[in-house]
Amino acid sequence: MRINPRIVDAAAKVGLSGQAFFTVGILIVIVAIICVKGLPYVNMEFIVSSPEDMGRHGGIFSAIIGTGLLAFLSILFATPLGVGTAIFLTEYTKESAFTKMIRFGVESLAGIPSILYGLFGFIFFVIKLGMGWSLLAGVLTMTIMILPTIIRTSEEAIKSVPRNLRIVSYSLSATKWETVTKVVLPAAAPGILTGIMLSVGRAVGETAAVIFTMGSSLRLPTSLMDSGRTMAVHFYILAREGISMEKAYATALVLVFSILFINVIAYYIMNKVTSRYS
Amino acid sequence: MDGYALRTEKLNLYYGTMHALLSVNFKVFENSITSLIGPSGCGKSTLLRCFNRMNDLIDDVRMDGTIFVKEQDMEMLDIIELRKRVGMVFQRPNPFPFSVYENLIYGLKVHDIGSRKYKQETVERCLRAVGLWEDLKDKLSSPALNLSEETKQRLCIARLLTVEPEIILLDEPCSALDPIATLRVEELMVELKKNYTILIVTHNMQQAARVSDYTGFMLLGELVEFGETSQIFTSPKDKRTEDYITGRFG
Repeated sequence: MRINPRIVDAAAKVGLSGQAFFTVGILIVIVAIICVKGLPYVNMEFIVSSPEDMGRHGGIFSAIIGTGLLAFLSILFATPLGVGTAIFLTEYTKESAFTKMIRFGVESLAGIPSILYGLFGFIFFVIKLGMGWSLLAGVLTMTIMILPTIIRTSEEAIKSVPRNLRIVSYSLSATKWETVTKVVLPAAAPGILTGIMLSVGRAVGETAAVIFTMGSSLRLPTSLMDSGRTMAVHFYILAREGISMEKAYATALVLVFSILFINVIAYYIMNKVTSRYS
Repeated sequence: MDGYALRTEKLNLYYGTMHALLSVNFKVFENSITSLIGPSGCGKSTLLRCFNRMNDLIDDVRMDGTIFVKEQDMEMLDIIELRKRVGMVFQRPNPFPFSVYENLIYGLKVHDIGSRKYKQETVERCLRAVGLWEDLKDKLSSPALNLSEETKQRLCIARLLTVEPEIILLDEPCSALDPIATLRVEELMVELKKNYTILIVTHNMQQAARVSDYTGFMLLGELVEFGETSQIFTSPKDKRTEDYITGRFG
C-alpha cells in the first residue's frame, strides 16, 4: 500500500528539522554548561595572571601565550608548505599517478588520529632529534597535522579561480609564475585564509599531540626549546587530575570562545569568497 | 598599406588527429582591420590563436608551416615578447577580480615597466583611448567585476593597450554585448586602427562588412577566400563564399 505522499512529505519535514535542531541543541547545551560552570571564575585577573600551585590558583596567562605561540608558529610553517603543495598540484602538474599518490598521502594524513601524531612527534622530534619536550617539537608535530587541511582548502580555492583569468594573464605575456603569484593567489587568497583559520582552530583545540611533544610545563615559554602548555592541555590536566574543576571550566570557556571567534571569522571570509565570482 | 603585420605560409594545425587548419596562407596588412568569418568550427578562432600562441595552452596541438610577425619568423620570437607585441581580447569580457586600476596596471606590473607616475599616465591614456576615462576616473578603485558587460570589454581592451601591442586579436569581442554596445565597440575598433593592426574573428557577417578593410572566409579549416571586404561581400569569387554570405548555409 502506498502511503499518502503528503504525509511522507510532512513527516520528512518534521524529521529533518528535528535532526537539525538536535544538532544545534547539543552545541547550545555544551556551551551553556561551560558558561554556567566557567563564567563565575573568568575575569581579567584570570586571563592576565599566571597559574600558581599547579593551576589551583591564579590564571592561565602562560597557557594563553603557549596556545598562541603554538598556533601561530605552526601556521607560519605549514602555510608556505601547504600552499606550495597546492600550487604544485593544481598549476604545475597534470593529473597523473604521481599527483594521485600525493593526494592519497594528503588524505591519509588527514585521517590519522591526533594521538598518533603525538606519538610520532614524541619518538621522532622529542627523542630521536633530541628536542625534548619543547615548543619546537610541538610546532613541528602540529605543522604536519594541519598540513592536509591547508593543502585541501588551498587546492579548492585555487581551483575555483576561473581558468580564463589564467589565459588572459598569459595573453598579457605573463609567465606561469607571474600568473600564479599576481592573479591566482590574490584571487584565491580569501579561500586559502579560510583554511588557515580552520587550522588555527585545530591547533588551538588539540591536546593529545601537544602533551606528547610540547609537554605541559606551566612556565611561560621564552624560547623554542622551552616546554609549555596550551589551554586545551591545561584544561585536560586540571580536570583529569582533579586539581580544580572551577579553573578547568573557566579555561574551557576561554578556549571555546577563542575557537568560536576563529570560526566566525573563517565563515565570514568564506562568504566573501563565494560571493566574489557569482 | 605599409606591409604585412601577420602572414602565414602553409599553416597546418592538428588537434590530436583532427586536422583543424589546412595549409592556410593568410595575411594581415598593417594598420588595417581584417576580419575572419565562417561558420562555427571552421577554424577561424584557431587561426587567430596561432598568432599569439594561445594554442600552446591546449594539450595535443601540433602545427607546421610558418607564421611571420612583421616578416619575422615566429619561431625566432620569444613567447613573452610575442604576446607583448600581439595582444588579445576574448569573447567574454574577463577582467581580473581586482579594482579597475589594478586591472589596468597588470601588464605593466608583469613587465615591471614604469614608475607610479608613468602607470597613472598610462591608465589615463588607455582609458581615454577606449572612451572610458570620463566614466571611470572616479571609480578606479572600485571592483572591475561590478561594471557593465560593455564597460568590462572596453576595460579589457584598455588593459591590453597598456602594454602597447602592435597587433590586436579580437575573438568575437561583441558576442556578449547588446547591439548598441556592439556599435560603440566597432567605432572604437575603427578609432584604434590608426595606431594598431586589428584582426577580428566574428560570427556576425554584418559586423565584418561594417568594420573591416579585408575579410577572410574560412570553411572546415580551409581559407576559402581572402580579399578586400567590399569585394568579398559584393563579388565573391568562390561559390562557397557566395553561399555563406547570402545565407544559404552557416
